[in-house]
Amino acid sequence: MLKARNEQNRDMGKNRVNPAIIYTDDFEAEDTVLECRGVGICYKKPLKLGKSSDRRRREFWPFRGVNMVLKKGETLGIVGRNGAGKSTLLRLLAGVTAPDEGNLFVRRDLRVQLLSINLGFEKILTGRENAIMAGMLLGKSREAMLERIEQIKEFSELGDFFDEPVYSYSSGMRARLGFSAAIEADPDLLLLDEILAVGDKQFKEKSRKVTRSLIDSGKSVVIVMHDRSFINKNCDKVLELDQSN
Amino acid sequence: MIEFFQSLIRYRGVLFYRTIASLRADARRLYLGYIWWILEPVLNTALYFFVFAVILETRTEDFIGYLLLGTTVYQWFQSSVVGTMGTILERAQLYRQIPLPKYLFSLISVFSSTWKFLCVFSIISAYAMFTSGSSVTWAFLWLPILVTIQLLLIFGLSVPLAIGSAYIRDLQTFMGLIFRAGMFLSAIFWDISKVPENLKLVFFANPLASMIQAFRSVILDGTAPNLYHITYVLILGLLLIQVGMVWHRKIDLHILKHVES
Repeated sequence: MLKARNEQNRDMGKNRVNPAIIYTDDFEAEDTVLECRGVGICYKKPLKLGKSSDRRRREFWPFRGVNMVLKKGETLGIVGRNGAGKSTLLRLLAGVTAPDEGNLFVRRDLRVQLLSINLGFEKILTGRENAIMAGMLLGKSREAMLERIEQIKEFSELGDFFDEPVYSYSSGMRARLGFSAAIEADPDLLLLDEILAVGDKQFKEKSRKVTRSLIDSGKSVVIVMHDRSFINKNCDKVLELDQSN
Repeated sequence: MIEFFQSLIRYRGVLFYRTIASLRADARRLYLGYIWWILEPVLNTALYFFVFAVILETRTEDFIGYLLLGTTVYQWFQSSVVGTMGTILERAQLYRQIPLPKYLFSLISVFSSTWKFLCVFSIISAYAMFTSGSSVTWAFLWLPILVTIQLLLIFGLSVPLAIGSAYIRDLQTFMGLIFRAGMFLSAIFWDISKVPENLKLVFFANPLASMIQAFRSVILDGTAPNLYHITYVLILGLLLIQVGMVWHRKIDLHILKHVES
């Protein structure tokens, strides 16, 4: 008992020294996709002349010490109040930001796709051009994207708007475009940030149906959503973030 | 540093198509479109010519060619470097979604300025040669080398300035001042031979002064550039790229948490 505790302490000490995202194939369980150990993220307010430079005042930790394991084919729901760090955690899982404490272990060559309402589209380019570019940024070749583009167009149901610049889109149409491009990219792990809650009723139903079929086909999905009933119905695990820690 | 060139290769498709898209988008926005590429340096040169040749009556030989070369080379440098500042904040949405090097969009901005420069530069060189009566010589083989060296210098400044301006926005204002100073100190519109002998070393420590002088000696005089000068700029450029990459590695996965956007 005592020994275990010591080891844990040593582990935590180690984590504090070197918080990082570690890409590895060395997991306890063979079907683990990613694992968080004592993960925390810290936001710092930018320095400004005349404002306090006190470290503790500038720092803000939305969450600390988060532990979780996600396995292949599992669905994780993340819930919590506004500002609890749900989107921050998703960005961490997507490999866009690194933890400020603890370690995130990610299986090597895992294709992760993060989808949020605020998609990074180039507004002056058309939906078609944006979809191609999105795939290229994820490492696909232009040729491969050109082959898939008609499918993306069909799935998005944007019709003629697909060849219009994105600035003319409504927010629902942007979500359609992003969702269609992401599904076509065929990720192993899909991170959905409130995306199932946008668009009209018909697209909402469609995107939820597709998400369910993804879950059934053995992909891992992490969902951030305020609709608790959808989460309870569809997720194997629920992670609750609250600011108390 | 190798990492930097690797990412150039890795993202070549994105860089290529995004550069084309951004050039097209720029031209689409403006009434005169692509005409601005050539109109801007010509109007600048006309202004300098009026002030310095007509009013102040200080002019060199082939003054128009001298001015045109100075302005286009400096304009290329300035618009590339200024264009990279703020790109991290502008693209924060995208950077928050896909793990990408945070200088990717700086490179796109550099490449589109460079493409504009190459188009204008070939027209202007032809004109400068025509008016100065020089002809195509072996020295012209230096041109691709000079362009590459200046491009490396631009890359070297772009990465740290893109990162720095994301943390401290004041940098953008400050660099505006630096570029205005650089314009006076790079002998764009006054005769370079007026620099006193004992100040030459300090004067050419400004890499742009060295580069502009090198371009002029190749095109206007048909002679090889000063090797010390361009080697100095090359080393400076590579050094800055190294600095930028070390800094980038440190902030890559953290910067988006600490900047306002």
